[in-house]
Amino acid sequence: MVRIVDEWSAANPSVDVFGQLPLEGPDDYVPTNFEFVQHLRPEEYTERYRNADFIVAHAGMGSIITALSLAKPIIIFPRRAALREQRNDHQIATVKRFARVTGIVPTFEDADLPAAMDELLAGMALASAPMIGSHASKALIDGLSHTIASSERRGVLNPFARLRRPQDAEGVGAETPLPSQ
Amino acid sequence: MPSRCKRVLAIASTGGHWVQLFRMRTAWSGCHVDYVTTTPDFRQEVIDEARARGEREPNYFVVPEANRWQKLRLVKLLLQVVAIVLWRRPDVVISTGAAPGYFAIRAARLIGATTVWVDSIANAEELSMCGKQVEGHADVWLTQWKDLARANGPQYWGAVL
Repeated sequence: MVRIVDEWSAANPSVDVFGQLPLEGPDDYVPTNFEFVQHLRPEEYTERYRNADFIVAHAGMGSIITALSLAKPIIIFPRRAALREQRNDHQIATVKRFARVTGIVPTFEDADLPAAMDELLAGMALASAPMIGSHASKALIDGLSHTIASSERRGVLNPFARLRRPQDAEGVGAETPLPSQ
Repeated sequence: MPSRCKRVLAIASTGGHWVQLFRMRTAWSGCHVDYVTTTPDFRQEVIDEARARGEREPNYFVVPEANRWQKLRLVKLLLQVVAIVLWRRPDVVISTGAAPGYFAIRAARLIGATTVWVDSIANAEELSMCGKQVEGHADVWLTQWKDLARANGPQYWGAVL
């Protein structure tokens, strides 16, 4: 992905491109056409997002959530499991799932990426991305609050034994009962 | 009868896992909170936010990151996480993953804590590897995609977006 952005940056010299690239491996591509750093502190990261017109990133939830919460269009490009960049191909699933969210531009293949960047540069692609707020859904938070408030300590349990869950006790679709504590 | 403030251990790897965990923070508002993650980067933000909300300042611990290809690092991570759990003695351990959270949930059994696994919203077609392995070990086992919920599997309570 970095190589593609580097080539695009060379082809679009009037565009100010900035990268945050961990460059962890010896084979990682080092760009020559745009400025980058290997690490950004959270406040710098947020500031860079704020100042950008659009973002290009792998399909990681940190990038996606930050972009959506700051209403910045983001092009997402999946990492590949085969390249040991990732434990599985869940990033491809992420791109598919988020493809229709306003503000997210999905890409799957190398060739998609420069085209997507050209489109955003031309201002063609998007209504402005939605603000999603800074908290999880109320239902999830309420459920967790309740779990916390009603939690009771149970003394030492065996970390190698499996729990029986309430839904198992009801026998809903259970095939074999789990061993009880 | 008023219940005492609960102790919550909120643990996640840096990056997307952390961002999602932190979006759920109002669920443990008012509790004694210990955050555990794999970078010191978020410490100031976490403390500033608690101060701004007039809440008790949380503790913040840093552990190593490790994935399944880094066996020695995994052992080091496991030992540190077990030590934190035994020392802090939370009532509830909650995690969005990955390996640090998995270890904390397993270790939490030693102190009888309630455990919550919230699988990352990034896992849209199937649960993460840790998310599958935590089955039978987390008291509350959640996916953020309704169509991944099962009667005999993870529940759907909502999402972080």
